[in-house]
Amino acid sequence: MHLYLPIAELSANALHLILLGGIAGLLSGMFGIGGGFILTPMLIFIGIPPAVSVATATNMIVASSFSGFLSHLKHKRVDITMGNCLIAGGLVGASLGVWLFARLQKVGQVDLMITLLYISLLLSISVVMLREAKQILAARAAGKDGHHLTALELPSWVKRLPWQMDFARSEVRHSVLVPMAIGLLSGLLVGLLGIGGGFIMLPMMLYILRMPIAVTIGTSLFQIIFITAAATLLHTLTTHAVDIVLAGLLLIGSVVGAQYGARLSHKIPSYILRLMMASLLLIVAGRLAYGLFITPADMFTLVTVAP
Amino acid sequence: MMYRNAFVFILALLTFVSAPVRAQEDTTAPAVTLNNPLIADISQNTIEIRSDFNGTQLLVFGARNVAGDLVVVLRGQEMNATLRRKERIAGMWMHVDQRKYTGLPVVYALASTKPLSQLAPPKTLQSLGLGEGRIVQASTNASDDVFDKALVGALERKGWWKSPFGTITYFGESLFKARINLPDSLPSGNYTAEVYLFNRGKLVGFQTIPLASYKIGFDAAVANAARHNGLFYGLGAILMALLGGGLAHRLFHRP
Repeated sequence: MHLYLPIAELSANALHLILLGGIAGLLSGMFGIGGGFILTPMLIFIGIPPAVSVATATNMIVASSFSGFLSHLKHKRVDITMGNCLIAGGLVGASLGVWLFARLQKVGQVDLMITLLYISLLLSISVVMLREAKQILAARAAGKDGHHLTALELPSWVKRLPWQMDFARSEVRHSVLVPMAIGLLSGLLVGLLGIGGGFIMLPMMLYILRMPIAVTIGTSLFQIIFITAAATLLHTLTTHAVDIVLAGLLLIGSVVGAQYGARLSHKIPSYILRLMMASLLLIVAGRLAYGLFITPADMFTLVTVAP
Repeated sequence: MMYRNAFVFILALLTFVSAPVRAQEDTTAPAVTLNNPLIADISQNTIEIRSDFNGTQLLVFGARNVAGDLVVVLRGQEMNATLRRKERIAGMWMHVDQRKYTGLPVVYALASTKPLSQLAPPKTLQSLGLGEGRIVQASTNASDDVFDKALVGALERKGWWKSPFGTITYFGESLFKARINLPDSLPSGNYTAEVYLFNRGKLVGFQTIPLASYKIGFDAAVANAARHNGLFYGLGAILMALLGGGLAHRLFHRP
């Protein structure tokens, strides 16, 4: 069933798009992340213009993160105070990201920059995943439960920062500047790459903020809702690239996929999940890199604007 | 569409054939048609682009009352274009160079009964905007052969430009028609169909007929809202996402 996407200005098979959303949702449910980092490259790959892919994926992540957030809220696994600090930083970061995106779009290097950023992000995350899988396997061999994580020792100046605050639900004490800085970094990626930023946020919550693993996913999803909603609005106001028809189709697949993914994640051992994830990321990064290095069919890119 | 075009054409033929006869019968109306060296019209003045729009065919037809060669052009409204060239840097292909073009027609389809260069001197053709190469050159202050050719190629691949779009066929000495196939990627906007009659290097007849294409239906409303009502469009998109997420949660977490 072919459907015309009014902003992307092309026809696409509606079932393919629902399926694509389903894959992103499945992964998001399995790994507790937004799924945007896999969705955006896939949309670009099937021919949706990069700008539309980024802006529309941002909109879709609002749905998948809201759906997941509700489940976590029910079990009181959300640190709202911490979330608010992350959001404050994230809003600034997202605005910077969307602004930077519009700038790069004008200069004509946006496609290259997005691809390069993606490749480096995907590679670094897959390295982290492989390391975690190794750690879990080592811990299992040593007879531990495999949920053993080593937090980073923060430098002393971080502990002396002003506005120290107790985060009751997470049972930690930090300067509000620390979560705000983390929020800013992930917000920047949201605006620039059309991703939720969860996969950057989660390790930082665990290793830097030392939050208990039970509240990290819910809190991360809580802040992602606000940041991606803000980024969606910024995109509709500046780049005009959010395709509501495309978002709707992806959404149908992703919210359903996310629920099945969450169920599946309880059945697969965590080190296998991480190995699967790492290999998936490597494949996507490899495909993107391949596209940069092969000789293009057309040496010229045409951009037309009605005056 | 085909049937409609054929019908219009037959109607047109009848009109032209019967025109002199009617002019004789009706003595009060001046016989304008006989004095005009060129009369032309098109099969439709509006093109509606719906979500299932798959391109359409435009018929340009008419009659010439003096000898000469014809040029038929469909010209879209003006746009600006930037063409960027890729080059390999450190193994990666990236944009290194660009040219800007202003005031190019979005759509440009041309056909003529003889090669343009045999019809009129280059100066005349240039001032009338006839010929792909000529209008590209006129639209940039840094004309470059490689870029200009690539621009024409890119616009032709999009289906927006085509020269020649087909052939102009004659019926007898004076009647003519030309079919222009319009692609599914046809941009909305204002167009003009132009018919030129050249004789011995001089323009002896000219007619221009306006034409408009516009998006219609749901897609048009969405595209319009996205461009002109960003705030409401964005809020709507967010609301849709929240509703979708909430609904899924409800469906899968029923007590």
